[in-house]
Amino acid sequence: MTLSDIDIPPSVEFCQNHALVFSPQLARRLAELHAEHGRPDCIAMPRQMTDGRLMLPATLLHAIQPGGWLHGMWEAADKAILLPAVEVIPWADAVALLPPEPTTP
Amino acid sequence: MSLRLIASTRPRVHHDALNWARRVASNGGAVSQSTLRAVSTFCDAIDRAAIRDRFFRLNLFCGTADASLIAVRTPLYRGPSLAGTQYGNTLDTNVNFAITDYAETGASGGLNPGASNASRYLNTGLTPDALPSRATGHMSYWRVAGSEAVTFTRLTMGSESSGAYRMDERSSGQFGFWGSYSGAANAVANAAGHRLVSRTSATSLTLYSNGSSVGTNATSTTPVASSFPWFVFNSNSNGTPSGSWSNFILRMYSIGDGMTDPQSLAFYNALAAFNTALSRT
Repeated sequence: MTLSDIDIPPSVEFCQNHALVFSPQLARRLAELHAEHGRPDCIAMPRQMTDGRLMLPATLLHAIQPGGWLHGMWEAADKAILLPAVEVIPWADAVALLPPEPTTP
Repeated sequence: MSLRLIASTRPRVHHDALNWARRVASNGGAVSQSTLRAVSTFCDAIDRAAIRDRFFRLNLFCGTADASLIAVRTPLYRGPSLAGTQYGNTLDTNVNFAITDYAETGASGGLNPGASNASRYLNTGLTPDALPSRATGHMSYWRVAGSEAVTFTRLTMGSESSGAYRMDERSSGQFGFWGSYSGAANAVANAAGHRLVSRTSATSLTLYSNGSSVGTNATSTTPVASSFPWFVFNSNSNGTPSGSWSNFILRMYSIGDGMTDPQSLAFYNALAAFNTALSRT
């Protein structure tokens, strides 16, 4: 499933249970757009997964609405490229692909 | 009725609370009258306890929710007085939080990084090196209860280089560090409430839970330099977030000068009253 396949923004419950997964190349382009059009005091900082792709919480889809801190970036992005390039996967699947957290008893 | 009489019947708002509400509004956010009253009452309690100068930064994570999280990222205090030097970012820098992660009131009131947080935190912009002195100081937060089924380490806030200005909660309990990796600890895990670590001298480091001392460390310490800003919901480890993320709701954080036992208790009581006013119980 990609962003092309869902209504945006999805429900809060859906967002809380899913992650956005995309390539480093797309991440660089989105970061450029955010630097140009977004708020400097809000940052979308993806985490790298063990397979080299990057992930963000899907709750950020609620920051692209008018007034939201990602709205400027979203409006400037080419949706024909962006929407099919962002996978939407279950949150647990994305977390399983993150480097393991250190644990101290 | 004279204008003077009308003015005298309006509820008085503490100048720190009013300044906070104006800063929120100037950045495009909003504060309800009921929240402003609760913040004002909190400020009065802090003044009565004579601890206003203990705070270099305090954020109560309140105000009306908006899509850029303006109010919740606007600290109430940014320096030991409103007129003096202000410290850190004007607003806490948001990393990956969205409006869906914030509730102002109720049992879930506060900023919620998610039960399996892996990316959300705030950057205060305040560094230990920016403080007038690192020799004494405090950090605190108020957390909501969590449920942990695994061995865990949750760093709630911190700045680290060769030593730690950090607080964390682990399977084995609560920990607080100010200026070194020799900390104060309390063997209680997963408990809701207020945690505060305070260094009042080279040989006095105390961890408080809900205003009561629960751990001490008398090891002589000269707090190390750190030019890395404090993160909240994680710790800034030499410029990047550590691998250990907090996964429970926080209702506030503070950073400032050291506190004594009575000061810590008075602070806790003011916070508890504020949480009650916002139904954060």
